Amino acid sequence: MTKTVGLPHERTGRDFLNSYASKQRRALSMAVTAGSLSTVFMLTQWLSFSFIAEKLIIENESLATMSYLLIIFVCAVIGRTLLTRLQTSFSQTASLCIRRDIRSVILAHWRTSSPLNLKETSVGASAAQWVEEVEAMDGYFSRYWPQQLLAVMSPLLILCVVAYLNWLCALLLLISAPLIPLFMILVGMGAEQLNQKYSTIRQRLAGHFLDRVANLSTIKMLGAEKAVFEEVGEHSDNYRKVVMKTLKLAFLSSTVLEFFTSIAIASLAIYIGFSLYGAITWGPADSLSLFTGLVILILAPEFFQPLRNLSQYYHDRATALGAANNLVILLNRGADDKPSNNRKDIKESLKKQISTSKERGDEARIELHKLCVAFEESSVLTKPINIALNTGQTLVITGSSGTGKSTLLNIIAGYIPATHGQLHFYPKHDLPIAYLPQNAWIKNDTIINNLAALAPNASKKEMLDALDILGLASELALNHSGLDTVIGEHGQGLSGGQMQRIALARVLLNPAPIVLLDEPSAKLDLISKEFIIKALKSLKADVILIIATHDPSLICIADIHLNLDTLRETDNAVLV
Amino acid sequence: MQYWFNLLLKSQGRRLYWGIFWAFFSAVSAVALLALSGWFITATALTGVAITAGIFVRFDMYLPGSGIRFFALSRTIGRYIERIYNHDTILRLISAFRLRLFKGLSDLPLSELRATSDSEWLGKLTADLDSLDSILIRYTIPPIVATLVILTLTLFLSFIWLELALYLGGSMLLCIAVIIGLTITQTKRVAAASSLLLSELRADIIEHLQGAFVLQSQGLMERHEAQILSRLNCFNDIEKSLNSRVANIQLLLDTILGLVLIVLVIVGLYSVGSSSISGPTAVMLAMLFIGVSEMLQSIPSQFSTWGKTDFSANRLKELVKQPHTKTDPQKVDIEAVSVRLSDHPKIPISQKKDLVFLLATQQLHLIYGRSGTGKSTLANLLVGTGLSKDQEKISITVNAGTSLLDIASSDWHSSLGYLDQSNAILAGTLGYNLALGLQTISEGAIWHALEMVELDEWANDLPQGLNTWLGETGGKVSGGQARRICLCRILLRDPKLVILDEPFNGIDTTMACRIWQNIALWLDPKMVVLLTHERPIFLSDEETISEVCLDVFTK
Repeated sequence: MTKTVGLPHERTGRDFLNSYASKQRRALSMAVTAGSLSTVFMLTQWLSFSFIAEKLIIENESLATMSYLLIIFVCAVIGRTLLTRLQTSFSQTASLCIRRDIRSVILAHWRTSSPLNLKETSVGASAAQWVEEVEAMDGYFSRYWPQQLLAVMSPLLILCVVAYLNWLCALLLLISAPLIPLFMILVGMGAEQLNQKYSTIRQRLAGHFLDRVANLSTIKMLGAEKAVFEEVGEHSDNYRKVVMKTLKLAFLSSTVLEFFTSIAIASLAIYIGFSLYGAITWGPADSLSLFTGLVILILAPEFFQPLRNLSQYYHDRATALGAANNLVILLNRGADDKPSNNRKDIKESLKKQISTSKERGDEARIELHKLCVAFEESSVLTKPINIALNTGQTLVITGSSGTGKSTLLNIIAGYIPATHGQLHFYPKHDLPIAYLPQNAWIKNDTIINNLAALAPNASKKEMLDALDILGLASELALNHSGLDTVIGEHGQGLSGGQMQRIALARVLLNPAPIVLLDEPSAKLDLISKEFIIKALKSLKADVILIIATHDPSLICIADIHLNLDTLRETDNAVLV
Repeated sequence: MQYWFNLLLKSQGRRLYWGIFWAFFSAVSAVALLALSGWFITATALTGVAITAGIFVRFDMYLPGSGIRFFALSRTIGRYIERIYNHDTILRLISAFRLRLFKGLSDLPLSELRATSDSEWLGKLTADLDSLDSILIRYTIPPIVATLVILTLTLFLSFIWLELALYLGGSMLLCIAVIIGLTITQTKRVAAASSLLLSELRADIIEHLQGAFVLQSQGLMERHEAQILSRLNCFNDIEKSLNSRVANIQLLLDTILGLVLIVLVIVGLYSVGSSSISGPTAVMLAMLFIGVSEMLQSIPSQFSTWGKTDFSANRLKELVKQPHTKTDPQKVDIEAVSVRLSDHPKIPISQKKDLVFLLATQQLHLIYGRSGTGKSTLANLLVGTGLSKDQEKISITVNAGTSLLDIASSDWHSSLGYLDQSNAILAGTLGYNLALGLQTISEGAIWHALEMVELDEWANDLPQGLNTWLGETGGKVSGGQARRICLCRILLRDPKLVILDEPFNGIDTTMACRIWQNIALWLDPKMVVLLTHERPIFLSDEETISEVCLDVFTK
């Protein structure tokens, strides 16, 4: 079902959209076929109508003699509506499939790109990209794409009929038609750029809102509601101005079309009228009758209709292109600096889990060779570190705030590339790593689902045991409804220390060969801390445990103590 | 939806009427262009035939000709003005809606603010608001304009053939009503369900991304996607059914319009046969109908979003309270605060005995207890967020006998400096974060405060100093730094009551001691409440403090 499509790295949003359209080529071309057929029916409808009108009005024939024409007329009317229905259903199905594919590609991208990169754009903006921006591509695939072919096919069919009836009228239509795409391209180029800006601004607006709303309680405490209120107003006013600019251009393109349509209809009507009256005698004026005149007059707007639709859908295209360009930027960013995280899929990690529990002999090892803690190539935070750790050993990293403790953990987790020095894992490079960041990740869900998110195979009993080890089982049973307690996104109902311990319980339930803990005791009191130390002591025999902390009481479980403050003075402070 | 419609009338009423006028203007021009052309051609054809037959007919060609040219131009211009004008109106409107909503949100009490999760709010604020433009450009203007055009058409036709005009006008108005009603009833539920799923998907994605940090290193990302994907499939199914319902209604409308056209053509032609109307008039009749039916054709797709809009409108409405007329907050002179509470569900010790204590100005009060003993709950009570009128077991009295409940929360907050556990850094510059909510503040004061929390060097080293952007999520700041920035924010104000909830989380003890020394002078004249896990090392014994212990079992 969720076959992950291999990421072809398109360079532009246009390539991106095209490649997805070609994946659904069959459904889309069926839609185009249905659309062209409906044009044929439309032609039949008006030809028969005009023919009846001429016979009746000019030749004074009675309607009863033309029942076969009437039947053709009725059939054409009905056939045309049915085919239109068919066209929409084909193109909408295609669009749905495409949107699903694009969404799973984005998910796959997130699976492999560093979470630190994800953090750079706010999650609100990323979510908006996945939800709204992909949704905004609907118009492109279900309307614009089929229409760009229909805008050629239908007018051509109509032109053939008109040319057969009167070449001068056909010539007039032919001259005015190519002008339209020309204008559209001119206008469209500007609209495209604007649209990209518009989509960026929309994303920023979403991110800005999420940020301000998430911090609304802080804002309120600081009495800054008014200032932020004005800020929000300013942002949405900017948004309005940019959108208006886009729309003015988008509408201009359709206005050019309207103008040509109106002028063409008007001049055709006047030409036909004058010819029929006898005021114009040059050209093929003699061949005009009420029948041909009416057909041409009615077909003139129909000739322009597909083009008009196309221009109406043109801002669908511009919107989709803007969104696609942003998406391509996102997808390519991962391709440039691929972090080391093509790490293990779930089956492997489950296998690992079983093997660690069965055969303890399967030891893991990490080696840091002259590794400097560095955010980027240029900003080196520490002297080179040389450390090797085997399963069963514990490393405690200390150092004052800002010396790079968390950064070092991120490097080991593979979230920041190791730019200085080397990092080796044994027996294989992509060992699963359990990582407990400073702020526990808590889902807006029950405790049981929170635990299961990272320990999918743990039973209810095991969960209760793990919570018990951390002293949570009694606390939760005392005040809450146990495992089914719902924790909110801000962790309502649980204190900071309790959330931290729930996060630790996940680690106990599904210990990866390597466990990274960032300030596991920061929010804890002495008694909870004792629980944690006890739990860590029982855990340490089976894993490589790496802890970054300020807390002196955690140093006692260390086999190796790395102090980033003193590392500056003595090179290679710790060697094993 | 009615609420927003009323707001629309109130704030943009005049623009609405003009918008309708321009839409009507261009629609009439379009129909007239077609009808006049049809009549003109048929009439000239008949005249031409008559002339060739040698009959002299007086026919003025130039008046209809210039009429055609006029309508061609007015249609184009009217359409452009209409679209620009109405879209500008809707964006103004959305901007007004947005601000009204934000005001409503910031007027909510803090406890309610936390009760809704962020991701859902984001959906409310952006997607929901954007979808409200449908109220104007889909549900208000098109049906009104269509009705007006049909009425005009009926009036015009009634000069020619009263009976037919009434039948045609009546049946088309009925057709509009039926199609609108049918579209709304058929799609409302499905569309609302699709909106709901989409907003749940948004929440899922946000959660997924926030969890990426822990999920990815363990290779569990794909597993965690399962829920998202199953919901996505659900969404696709619903969209499919919504699409097919709309397409079926469109089919119905097209069929009705087709049938009416057939009937009209047959009736018209019979009447020409029986000479009750002229040929050109019959053709004009058909052309008029084609023009109008083109206008009606978009009704199903326009009304298919009714359910989505209604869903958004209802969700948003819940959040918009009538805005209060707020006066600027007045600082409260806090001399003493007495607290008495019993049987609080989140403070275990209060279930054993009444918790009673008194806070006095110029004093340091230490409240300590293990995690889960209700420190933050207690802090929130002091801040006034956990309070409600029906809780009789909690009484917090300020000075002599004023209940905290009777003090306006904005007044209370302005006299309060509260360092909570969240380390909230807003996306913005360092300076923005520090000066948030302060009217005027000198740069010197900021640097002095930064010095107290030992961040001055760090800030000095930043590429753009105080103007350095702290990232969308404040990601570039370490936990300890964020903590100190939040503390610094409070140091820049002059609160009467300072509540510090674990002020030195993530900061090592030596630095904590130094910072405590630095801010001691600032704290001195204030009423200070310090909440910690245990008696902190940085407090020297001689500091005069009152202590409250929340532990149920003392060691």
